[in-house]
Amino acid sequence: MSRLAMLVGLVAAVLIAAGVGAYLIIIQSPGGGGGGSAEKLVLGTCADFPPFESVNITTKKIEGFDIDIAKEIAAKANKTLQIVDMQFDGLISAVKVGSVDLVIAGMTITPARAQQVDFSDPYFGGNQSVVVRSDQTGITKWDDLNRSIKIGVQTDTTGDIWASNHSNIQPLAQIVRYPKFTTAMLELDKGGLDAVIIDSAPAKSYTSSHPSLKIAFEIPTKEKFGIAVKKGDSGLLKLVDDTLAYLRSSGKYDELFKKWFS
Amino acid sequence: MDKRHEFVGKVRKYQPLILIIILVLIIIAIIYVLYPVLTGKDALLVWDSLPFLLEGAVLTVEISLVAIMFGLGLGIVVGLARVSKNRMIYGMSTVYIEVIRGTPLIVQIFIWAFVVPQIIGYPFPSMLAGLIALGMHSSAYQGEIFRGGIQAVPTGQYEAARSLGVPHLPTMLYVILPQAFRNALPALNNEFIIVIKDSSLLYAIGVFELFARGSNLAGVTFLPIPFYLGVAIIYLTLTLTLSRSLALIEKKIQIPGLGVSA
Repeated sequence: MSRLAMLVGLVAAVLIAAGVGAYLIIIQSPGGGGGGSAEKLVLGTCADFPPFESVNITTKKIEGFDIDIAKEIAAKANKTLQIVDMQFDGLISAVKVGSVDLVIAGMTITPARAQQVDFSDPYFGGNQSVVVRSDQTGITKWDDLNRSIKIGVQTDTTGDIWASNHSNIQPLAQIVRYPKFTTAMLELDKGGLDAVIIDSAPAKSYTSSHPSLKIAFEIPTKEKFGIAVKKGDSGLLKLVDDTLAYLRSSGKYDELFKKWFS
Repeated sequence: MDKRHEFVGKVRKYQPLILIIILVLIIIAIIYVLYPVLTGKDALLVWDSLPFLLEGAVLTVEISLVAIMFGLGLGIVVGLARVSKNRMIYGMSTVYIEVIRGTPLIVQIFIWAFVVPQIIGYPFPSMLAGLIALGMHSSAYQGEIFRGGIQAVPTGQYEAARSLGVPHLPTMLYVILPQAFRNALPALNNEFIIVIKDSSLLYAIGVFELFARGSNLAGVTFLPIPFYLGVAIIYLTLTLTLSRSLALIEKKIQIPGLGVSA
């Protein structure tokens, strides 16, 4: 019955080859072993949020204020930092199931999110901004959004929550949700959207690097950004809070702030 | 030979030529669109990004190879189960195929990335989730392709072998399956191409493959034309290389005079 052996052998060989290949791909990918390992700290982020986190055009590496903070945390933990870039709306799930150890993604601390994950002490405060094309003159205040226009947001961000909750924006305005801010900005630039609601700091970054866009006005939401870890992971949370306190007391926080926000 | 056969014969004869002409036209059209960008002020940025995109293409190839092999091994088993006379085995394989074929791949990817780890309470990296989703998805389709290949072998052959006193298993192994594999090859070729294209969906769970890189750069630089078209060209190169090489194999193993060819 050599043919039977051949068939079984073929199936086994193909599956084993697939398994070995998968193993090789997984160990070389960021966050390969999943979170919670002794040697590495896996950071989940959404690299479309300059200057907090974005892909550097020249080096093609993910960099930013949040990334530098993550590096400090990893250094304090004596682990190597690995960065997983994913959609913003997948970050909470990723830290919950443990495929990343912590999330630093300019994430605002909200009660709903705090039920799912544990947040560190706030490390940054900010408001929302409405970004429009430079030639746009019709949108200068909140009431101007109450028209039949298209407003782009990123799914599950505070911009999305804010726009969705505000009755005077609906039903006339249409909210379009994108997985990445980069896509929303591209659409705005192209003319497919009339406005994008995004945090003020990245709004400044986008508008200064792309003169075709400008900030129409700011929405004073007074948010606090926090670093998210898995619920109950008190060891890591303490490490994060200690690092943040150390950064502030040593003056490194101001250095980083100057580096990314001026 | 009637008119229709004559026409089909001619098309076959000139098929490689037609393909090359179409390819040349596509490339001319793309270069015409890309020309201003590739020579203008953003040219350096675009050319510098090529190695970064090609790294992503390597990852795409690796992911696709593993998924294809995983799907092949599992697909052979599922395909055989689908022609089994055992009700249990037939039923189980049918349910497997219907469930996988009846749900969108992107949903399956998110289920493997976020639902399964939470249920089993053990985190696994998003890359593993993506490979399993992609491989299982392909296995259902490849299973159906093998079933079709087996059923395309005329029943007369099975009956003839059995009436000569050959038992069921040897009949399958020595008479049916070799022909079935040959029948399945053209459809498998198609499925392999689909896997390469589908691998781009993994960008949603943070796998930094070809499309994720192109999309990210398009968003950061506000240059959608060179990056999305560039990504398309790279995918086309990958799929064409694969399909043309498999077509050569098809030609090699086809039975002379039996018509069915690539």
